[in-house]
Amino acid sequence: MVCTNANLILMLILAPLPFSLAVLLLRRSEILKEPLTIIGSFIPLAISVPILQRVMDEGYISAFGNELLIDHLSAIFLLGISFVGFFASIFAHRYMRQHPLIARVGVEIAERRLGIFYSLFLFFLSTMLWSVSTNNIIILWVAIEATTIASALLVSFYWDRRALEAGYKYLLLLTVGVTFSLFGAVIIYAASAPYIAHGSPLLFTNIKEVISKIPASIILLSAVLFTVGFGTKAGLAPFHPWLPDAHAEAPTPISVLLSGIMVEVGLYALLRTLGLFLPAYPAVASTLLVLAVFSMLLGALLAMVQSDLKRLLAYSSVSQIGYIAMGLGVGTYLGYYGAFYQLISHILAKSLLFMCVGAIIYSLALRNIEELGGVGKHMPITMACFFIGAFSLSGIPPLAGFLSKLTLIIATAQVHLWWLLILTLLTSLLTLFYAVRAAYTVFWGEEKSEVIKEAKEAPMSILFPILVFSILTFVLGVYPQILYPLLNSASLLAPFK
Amino acid sequence: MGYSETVLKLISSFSLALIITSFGAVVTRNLRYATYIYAVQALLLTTIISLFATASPTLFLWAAVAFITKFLIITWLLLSFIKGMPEYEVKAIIGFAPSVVIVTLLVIILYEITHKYVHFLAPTTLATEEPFRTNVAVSLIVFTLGLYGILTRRDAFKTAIGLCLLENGAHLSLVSLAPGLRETVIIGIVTDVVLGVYLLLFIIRGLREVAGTTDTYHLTELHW
Repeated sequence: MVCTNANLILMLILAPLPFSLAVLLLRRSEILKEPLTIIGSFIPLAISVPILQRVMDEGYISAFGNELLIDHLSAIFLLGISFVGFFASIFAHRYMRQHPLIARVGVEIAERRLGIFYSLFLFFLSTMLWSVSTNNIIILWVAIEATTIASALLVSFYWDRRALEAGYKYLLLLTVGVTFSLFGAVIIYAASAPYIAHGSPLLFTNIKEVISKIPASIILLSAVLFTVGFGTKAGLAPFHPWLPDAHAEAPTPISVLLSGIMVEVGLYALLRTLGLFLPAYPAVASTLLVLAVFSMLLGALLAMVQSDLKRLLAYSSVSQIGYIAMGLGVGTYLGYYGAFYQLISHILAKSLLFMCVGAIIYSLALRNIEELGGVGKHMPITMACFFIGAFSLSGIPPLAGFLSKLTLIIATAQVHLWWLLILTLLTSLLTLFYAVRAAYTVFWGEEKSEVIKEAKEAPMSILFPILVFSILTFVLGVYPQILYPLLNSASLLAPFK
Repeated sequence: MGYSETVLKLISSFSLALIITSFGAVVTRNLRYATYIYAVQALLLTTIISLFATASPTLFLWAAVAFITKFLIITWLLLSFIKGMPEYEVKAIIGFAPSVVIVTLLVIILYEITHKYVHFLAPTTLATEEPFRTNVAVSLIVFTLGLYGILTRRDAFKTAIGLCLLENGAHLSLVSLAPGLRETVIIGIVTDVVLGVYLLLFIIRGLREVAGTTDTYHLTELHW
């Protein structure tokens, strides 16, 4: 039986939801929650493979009168979301039972809370998949807002003062920020509707056809509103203050989702909306370029002064998202190619690093760099994988991060943006400094406490995703041609200057 | 558009009243009164949508949903939250008298900009005419006052009211810029932030239980 495009896309978005409900209903069960979560997050990954195949064959697939549309660009994000989601669920099932919360509240309450955690985890996954599958500008806003609502309680999950503070900032700042995008979407909808004779004035594909008829002042106003709104979601500086708190205080599997994919979903929304204007108004890309450079540098500088491993990685995300935005801002084929490559290498490296930190927390209940040292002797696999992630993040060959950053550097040289090239290289040096210094301090040197002497590797269910991400980081650095067909098609579709 | 003169005058009057209620909801220190003022604004906005619906009847559906979510549910949520809280909000960063000056200036500047440069800001020809032009100005003012409330109030409860004002500003612009389009109703309904407000209040309640305060100045556990 041939599965229609509509069924495939619907299954992809909705697959996690019945499992989310089942986990919620079975939250008292000690044995069913984790398997159901893993199955619920595996199905989107399984479905994204035939979807990718069809997109590669047909250019794009759509359903319900183009309300849902997946092209090469969406496909990259779909793969990232479903891949990270699946491995984060495997990572979570042992990790989440280790936290002091479980000991503190008692078995029965802990089981119920874990049920709610996994239920929200799957719902969060579904909202992110929805965000990158819609072709409707307002539904994109709704889906992005839904990702915030789905994840706010996950950020506050531990329900202590720090977690609640992070959750409050997260929900407030993101909701306020994204409301700017709603204003932008309303203005574009009202401005384009009179020119769209057939079809919905809310669909990107229809708006794109009439964008040249909209006054430049309206485009400028909308571009600013979208940049503030979705830029906040993407964690671009200066709209990033929610990010370090949320990523650091959330349970590690959620940090993986937030840093590994959610900020990228914000960037996707930014690219989709600003992408409407770029062909007719290339100056919009310059704004993105300025924000990107600011983000790259500020994120790297702030990462250097962190003593908390998770906060360091969170600030690093601000910087790395800046790299991706920079490629989009350069606006050439190679700029886009580098941006998408950097996106994938960042998803792998950042998820890997957060999971390594999670393994350390699981084993030692410590995450402050100053309290750690000599961990490598007891956790050699985690150490090796952490270094792979840190080197990839810094752009060291032969890892994926090296090629993605090299592509971005060549793209800036191609358009003679020498100042940008210098700043990119400088940021790479800063990244190398803070990432390798953190790795060295944590894994080498003297053991600073008795706890570290007792340390041992985390169980296989935690190490397995770490190993998978490490291997992929290496493989995509050595065989970049694996990604070429997809990245090439996505880059060719992108709006050029 | 097929609006009678009376309807257009009512839309303008209620729209301008939104500015007063926005200011009141932000600066009133008594939490119960601030909530009541917000409720009045929700009713005003629902009435404005209903008045637009006289020419585009599908908007009545949005008006009904707005009445349930903005007026009934959010007001109930806010009133439930303040039970057991102090009567007055934590002292704000900017007090009443300076707020009057700042907000008056904001209103004058935004109103002037929107009227002077209406062709720069208006996405449609309709938006350059009255009362739509005034509505666009008011929507920007309400949105800005919501931001002002979030930035200058120390009490986390007031940030929830600020969030509601942001949404009301966006919704007023929506109904004013595209009252005759069938998609407007759907947009108005699906972009309601009632769930976001509920969650925000839920987390603030948790903060109150754990930290013993809703003063955002005391949220200092996490530093840059």
